[in-house]
Amino acid sequence: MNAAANAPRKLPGPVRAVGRRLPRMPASIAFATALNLTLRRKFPADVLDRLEGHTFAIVVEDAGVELLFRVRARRFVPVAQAAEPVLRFRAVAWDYATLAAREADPDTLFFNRRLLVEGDTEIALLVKNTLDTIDIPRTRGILRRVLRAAAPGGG
Amino acid sequence: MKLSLGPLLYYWPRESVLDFYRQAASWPVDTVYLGETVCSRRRELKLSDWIAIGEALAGAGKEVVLSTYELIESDADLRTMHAVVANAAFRVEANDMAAVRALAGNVPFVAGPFLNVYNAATLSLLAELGAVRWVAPVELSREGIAAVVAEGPAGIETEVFAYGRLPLAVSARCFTARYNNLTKDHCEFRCIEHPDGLALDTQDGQHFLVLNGVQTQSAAVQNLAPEIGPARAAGVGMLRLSPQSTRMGEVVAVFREAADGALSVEETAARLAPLMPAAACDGYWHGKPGIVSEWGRAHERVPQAESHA
Amino acid sequence: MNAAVLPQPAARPMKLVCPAGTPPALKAAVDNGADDVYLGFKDETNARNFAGLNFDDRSLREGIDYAHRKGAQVLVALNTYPQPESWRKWQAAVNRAASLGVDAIIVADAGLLAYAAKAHPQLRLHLSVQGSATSHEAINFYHERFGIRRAVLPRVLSVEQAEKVIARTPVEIEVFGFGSLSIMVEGRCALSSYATGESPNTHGGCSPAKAIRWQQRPDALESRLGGVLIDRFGAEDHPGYPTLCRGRFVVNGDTYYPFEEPTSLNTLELLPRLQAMGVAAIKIEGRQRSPVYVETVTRVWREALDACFRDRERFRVKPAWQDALAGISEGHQCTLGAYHRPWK
Repeated sequence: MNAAANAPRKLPGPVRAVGRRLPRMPASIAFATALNLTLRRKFPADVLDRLEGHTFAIVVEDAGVELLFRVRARRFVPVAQAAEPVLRFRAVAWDYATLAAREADPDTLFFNRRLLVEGDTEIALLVKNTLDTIDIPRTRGILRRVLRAAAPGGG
Repeated sequence: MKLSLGPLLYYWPRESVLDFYRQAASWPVDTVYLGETVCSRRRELKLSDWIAIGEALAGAGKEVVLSTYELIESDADLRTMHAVVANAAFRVEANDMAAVRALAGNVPFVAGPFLNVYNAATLSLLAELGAVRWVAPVELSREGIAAVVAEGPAGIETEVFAYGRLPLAVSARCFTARYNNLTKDHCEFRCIEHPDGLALDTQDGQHFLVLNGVQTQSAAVQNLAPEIGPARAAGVGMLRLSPQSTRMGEVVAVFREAADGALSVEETAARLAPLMPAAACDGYWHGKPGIVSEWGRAHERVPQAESHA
Repeated sequence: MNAAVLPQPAARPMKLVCPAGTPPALKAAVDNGADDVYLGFKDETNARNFAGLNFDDRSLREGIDYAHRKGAQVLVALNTYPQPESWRKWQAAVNRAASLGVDAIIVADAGLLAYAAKAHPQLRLHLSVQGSATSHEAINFYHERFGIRRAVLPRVLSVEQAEKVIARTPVEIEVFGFGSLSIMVEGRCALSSYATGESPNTHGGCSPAKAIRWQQRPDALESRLGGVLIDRFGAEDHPGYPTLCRGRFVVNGDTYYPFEEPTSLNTLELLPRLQAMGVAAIKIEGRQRSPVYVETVTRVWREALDACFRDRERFRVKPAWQDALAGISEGHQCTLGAYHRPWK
């Protein structure tokens, strides 16, 4: 593993400062809405039923943001607060983006402790495997272009 | 219900082995399985030694069966397997498909526990090839065994691993050698220092497994003595007792009495407890994780109630 | 490698057999040069029975179409041991695979092979690594009885031993090239069911996710399987999936990995030797891994197999290949496993 691939790429300090000051709810609303638009129809109904009622947390470490949502009636709904989500993911924005663009391998990030997963392992694997099953080539293409433009030496 | 002494899974000094089987001649077992099944590097006894032990046991009225390796890797392993198969005196227990191929259609044989007989179709196939007895894989539950027996071929005898540390896995690698920072090819035969295996604990102190060279066993001792009735009902005809280094004759005696109905299940469990090198387990039999002791779970209230009284 | 001792060049490159747990992984394998893609149904008839993974009839039909359009073959793994109460499910899975037009099925259980050979004589049969056939005599048993065309060698043999097997069987031999290394003989390991009640043989999975618990303690991250403590990770450790044979335990006061450090098998440097001795196919492990993994491994191994076929004597492992593979390996160390004798 080379050093460049190993070093997490973090957002600049000012972005982090802004992120911490943002109220949590609007970010969670925006995120849940985006999930419903891009992923909901691609998620098999039996998987959504298995996730029904569970709350998930996605912590974007370098942005100081925690996104919370729950699965209800086969939709993703934003949540203001959760005592103990069934799963909590922690990573930096760049790593989430490379995962979404299918440029990074989730197991590799996990083994490197760049993607931390806390909670129910079976549901974590179900979510990982389901996301692996979903083809969203257009969204991924856009993400990949954005990542290339943002990468050092790219754009 | 017949009793068998399973093949010796550990590596004991030659004199200890000879002494063990001299005693076994007088134990109330019907069948004795002989031979090295775990590691081809173990050579305290040659095949001719095993056959000599077998002749003495046969003279004492025992059925003698020679067991083949559970893992064959080299040409030398194959030659040994063929020598066992070609022995003129005794029946053979096949522990891999190369041995089955060598025996098929020629002589009746025992389908050993490592052949992975999980269903009636596989058992029927082996019966067609000449198997007259099968030993269930340790993972198969009582219900599973009953189903295989019910759907399987008529007339084949069913044997289960009823007592001893469970052989759970085999590897090309020797973990006893690894513990001693040695390679398998230069292992110095260090497993001879561990007559009941080398204990492995979890980091929080649970006795978990036992290293036996290339084989990994459970630390807990499978004990189906309280289950002889259900075993009979499931169609089991023979209980396998796996040799341990001490008090094996007493273990055999308790099983014999229990199988003959001379002991209650509570008496059986109480008599066996001090004879066992570690805690008991019986989970596989009940369709649970193998490490579980359903007997212990069901009876833990009894001694507690007594101690509080 | 001494070129003088190598026999005649092979007539064609070794086949590259790649894993697919999902349709995007199948596409990644096919698009990047896999000859064969292997996969399983969504149940315990295959040895990677994990939630959300694997194929139903529709996705399999589409996958077969996609692979065939691009000249690749699809192999269905039915490589667990049918349990007495659900034999019909395995039987039905063989029939489904045959009727969907798969190119071969990969089977471990002798009874199921007997059924498949009788019910579908045209269906190509491969012996799974879970069948634990470690000698040419065991492999020839399955050939003579059921007409198997290919066998996957358990990862326990050295190169010399594998070479002898190949020379003495008419069956094509497939060997593992890359992926998670199983330290125990496949098909002969009940460690997982001892702790959890489920094993590859019985339920199609080692260390089922529902039996896993991660617990963050003040000083360490703990992983448990069926309640059994598998390992504790400090801040600098890389946690792995809690498989029993990769755990850290205590023997006589020493805390260490009594079975194996978490490593990946990688046999790139052996390719000229494997090709010369007549290995028919190289298998990549990882049906539980992501499409990114499949894409990366397939691309690297396609390039390596082609380079080796073009000129075996000048074949050198490129650092870029090793970097790419190291980036997706569990444990970041690669080993030749049993192929390399001192490992034993």
